[in-house]
Amino acid sequence: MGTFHFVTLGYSPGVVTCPLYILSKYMAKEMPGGVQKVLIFTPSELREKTLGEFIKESKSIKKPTFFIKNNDVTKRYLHLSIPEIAERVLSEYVDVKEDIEIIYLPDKVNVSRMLPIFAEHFAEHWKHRNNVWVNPAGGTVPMSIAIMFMAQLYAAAGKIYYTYAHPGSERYLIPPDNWKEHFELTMLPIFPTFLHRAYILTLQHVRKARSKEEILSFLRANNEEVDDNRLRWMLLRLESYGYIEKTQRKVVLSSRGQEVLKVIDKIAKLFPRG
Amino acid sequence: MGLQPSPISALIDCLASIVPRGKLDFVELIATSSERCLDSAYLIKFDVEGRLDARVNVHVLSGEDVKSFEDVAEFLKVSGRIIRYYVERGVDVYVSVSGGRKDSVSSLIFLGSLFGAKRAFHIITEGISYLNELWFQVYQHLKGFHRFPQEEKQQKYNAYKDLINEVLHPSKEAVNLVEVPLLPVTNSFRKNIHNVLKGISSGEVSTKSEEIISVLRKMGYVEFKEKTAFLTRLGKLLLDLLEG
Repeated sequence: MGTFHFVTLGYSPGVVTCPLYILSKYMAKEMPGGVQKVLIFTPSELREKTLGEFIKESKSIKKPTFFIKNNDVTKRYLHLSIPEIAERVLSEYVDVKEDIEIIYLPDKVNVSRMLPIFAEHFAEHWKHRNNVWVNPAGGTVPMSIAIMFMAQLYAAAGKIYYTYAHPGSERYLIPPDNWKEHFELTMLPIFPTFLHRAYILTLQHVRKARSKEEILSFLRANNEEVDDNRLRWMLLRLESYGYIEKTQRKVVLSSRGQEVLKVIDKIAKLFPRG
Repeated sequence: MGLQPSPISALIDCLASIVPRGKLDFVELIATSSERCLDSAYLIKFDVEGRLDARVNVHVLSGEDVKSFEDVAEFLKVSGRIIRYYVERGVDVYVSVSGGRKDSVSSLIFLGSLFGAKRAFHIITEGISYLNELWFQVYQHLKGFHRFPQEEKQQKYNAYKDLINEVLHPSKEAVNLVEVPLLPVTNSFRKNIHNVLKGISSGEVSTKSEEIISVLRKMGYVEFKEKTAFLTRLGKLLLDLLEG
């Protein structure tokens, strides 16, 4: 199984396409299994206009020019929306084993409206232990914040990468062969918090002392598609990282677990919709 | 700091109105060594120190932009040291992710979680393009501001006070302060990861750490050469940050 790429996209399709091309062509060793699937998260308003309409209406904005290698290909994409351009370029130039999925966000500013959508996709891939890499460079700052938050929540997932385009190189959809003169691709640190939502729910459940069987049935009820071995492993993990501890026949929160829940409660207040 | 002062100064205004006792003690600005960024930073310093009872420190990075791994590493080390310094002394730290590039946004969220910043914020300013244009006009008269002696700073500030005010202090209705969630990294857990990284660095790895190591490997902090674990440059950076 290869790597799943979760990327945010605003008005610059190259922010998504260039790093994926560079990773798959020049840094394949660092990404075992190649690109399995790409999930592009983008504001729904970008679906509504083609590049041609966008250029026509945004008279104050300089006409964008897109290059593949060193060929101007702007005309070829005038009838497509920005997300469709990213999708088309990726399908033509990057070997993606499964597919490229565009996920439209209901909002580009309100973090709490975006989080559930990111959460749904991260959770799905976490369940299958997929290797997920995140590119938070496209779109608005709140979009980057939302995807980073989820990446850290599901931190065991993978890596964060960021691409800097030198001035004038933002126009590339696919970089020329001397890509290092145009781009800097950097891995960014992320701390492995191991605080997946299922763990948080479990910690909340263990606020009251429970038997191991009670916790397992709670986990089963909340993770229908996850097999029992995996659920037992999750429970062991919570114990081995010191979030919960056993006292005689019951499982209780450790002081670390309590400390974490206090912060989680604080975060939950920021996002009352859960 | 990015190249425009508006998001940072507007955020400082908002923070000053929500912090306990209504008092910001210190503002730590991280700027690149680009002239425009430094001028923006020192204009904010001049303005804030003149209006609020707060000390503003400007920390200057060696590069003109945060673009390469080395730039990001320097940004992380400088910012990490500041956050850690205050948190260890029991001072509440508020992190701003407005201004700068997305790698800085990502880095500050990471550091805020890692070292226990109290809260993190982003600001959304309506009419930001207008403010940027206005700044472009005013800036023609303020080029080199960071190098001016104090007296000349005051003269320039007075001469363009109205325009500077408009750029630095958009109306309350035009700004929206957004709280950014920070995930918790507990002290004991941080120590645990720190010990594993130190163990790998010195070649002494406990077999109990196998699972953590496998996750650290997936995240790009550790690599294996013939069954021996080594820290990657990202892993060395994380260890450096944890060592302080």
